Amino acid sequence: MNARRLAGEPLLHFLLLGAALFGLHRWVSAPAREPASEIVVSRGRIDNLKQTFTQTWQRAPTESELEGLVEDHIRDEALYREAVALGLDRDDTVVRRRLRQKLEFLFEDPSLAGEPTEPELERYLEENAAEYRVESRLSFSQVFLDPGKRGPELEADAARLLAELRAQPDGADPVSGGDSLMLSPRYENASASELVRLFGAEFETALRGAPVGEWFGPVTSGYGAHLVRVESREAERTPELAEVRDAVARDLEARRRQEGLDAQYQALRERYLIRVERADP
Amino acid sequence: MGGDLSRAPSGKAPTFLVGALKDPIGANLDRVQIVKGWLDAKGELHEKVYDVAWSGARKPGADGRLPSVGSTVDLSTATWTNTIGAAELVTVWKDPDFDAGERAFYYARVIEIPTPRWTAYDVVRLGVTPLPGTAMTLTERAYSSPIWYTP
Repeated sequence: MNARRLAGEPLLHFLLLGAALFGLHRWVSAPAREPASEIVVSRGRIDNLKQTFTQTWQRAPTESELEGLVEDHIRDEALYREAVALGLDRDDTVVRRRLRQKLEFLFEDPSLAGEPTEPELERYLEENAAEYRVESRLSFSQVFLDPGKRGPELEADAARLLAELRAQPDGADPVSGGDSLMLSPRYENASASELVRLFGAEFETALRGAPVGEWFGPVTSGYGAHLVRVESREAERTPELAEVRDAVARDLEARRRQEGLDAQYQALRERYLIRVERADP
Repeated sequence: MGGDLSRAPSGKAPTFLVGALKDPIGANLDRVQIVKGWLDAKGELHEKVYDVAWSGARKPGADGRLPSVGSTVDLSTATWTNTIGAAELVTVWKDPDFDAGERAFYYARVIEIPTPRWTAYDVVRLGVTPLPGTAMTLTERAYSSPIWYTP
């Protein structure tokens, strides 16, 4: 068999073509790459998984549960790496917010968490007195006159009843003579906002000028007319530090924390060249 | 709130004390109603509304219906006045149709006098013309939790 004849042999063509195709297939379908990187589940990580489980379920995980936890962790890690590699963490509002939060948490300077001193608290209270105002408080008795029942007689009845009430000795029952109302005939240390809620703003305003220890009226409320005797009045005031110490300390610390965050942000911002491309007006 | 009643003594009907006080910045009260629902022997549900307390000297008509309280709403300004209605309504009511063998529920409904609806405020503030058939007033109301009677 000479070379010429061999070159014309169809079986040889078939074998050569087959080998070439097979080689091409191997080359094309070979595993794209070796494992990109290692995922190591360290002993420390496993302890941490165990601990988290124990905290949630109040018992240690069983062998198979632990296996599940580790598997889940590996899945988590692999998907996380792929997602980051694809850039899915970029331009994501939730991720950005969380990262910002974490960084701001790192910002908080522990030295600022020290207790504010007494003079600092005093000064803060003085500067922000309006936020700590103590509302005025009023103790009073009231007799109600129902305009629906009295009609046009209301004013005359009120004047007559007022005279009777003024003439009666202290300690007498003031309710007799008035009309029924589901509100109490006597209030003790009611705050201004409580009065507005129960009787309406008009009533609260009218009582600000009422004399103490004397029947007064008629005062109009959301229900009708009232005769009122103010027994004691505590004016609106700024509290002493001792009364509101906790609230002042909390607010001062919150303000300092915010100021600290702002200062650190400003320092950070100066490291950037910022260009805002506004639309032309 | 709400409650449960059971095993009524024979020949007696449940009695309810109901009281309502208006909102000091709101409208006066028109009436208090008690809504009763009951299941008859055939398992069918019935409902009846009883007027139990109301403002002024109104008297129920021949058909048992209480006349309307009227209205003080001025649509040209979208305002109303508390010159009708009552600040407070209190009464004791006994079920006149009580059947101790039937399951029933009772709840109270308090109705304010008519006030302008938001559509009326829109007309005044924005100068718009409402579509024909638009409701311009409404009666605000409050409900109590039900009291259940189970024989």
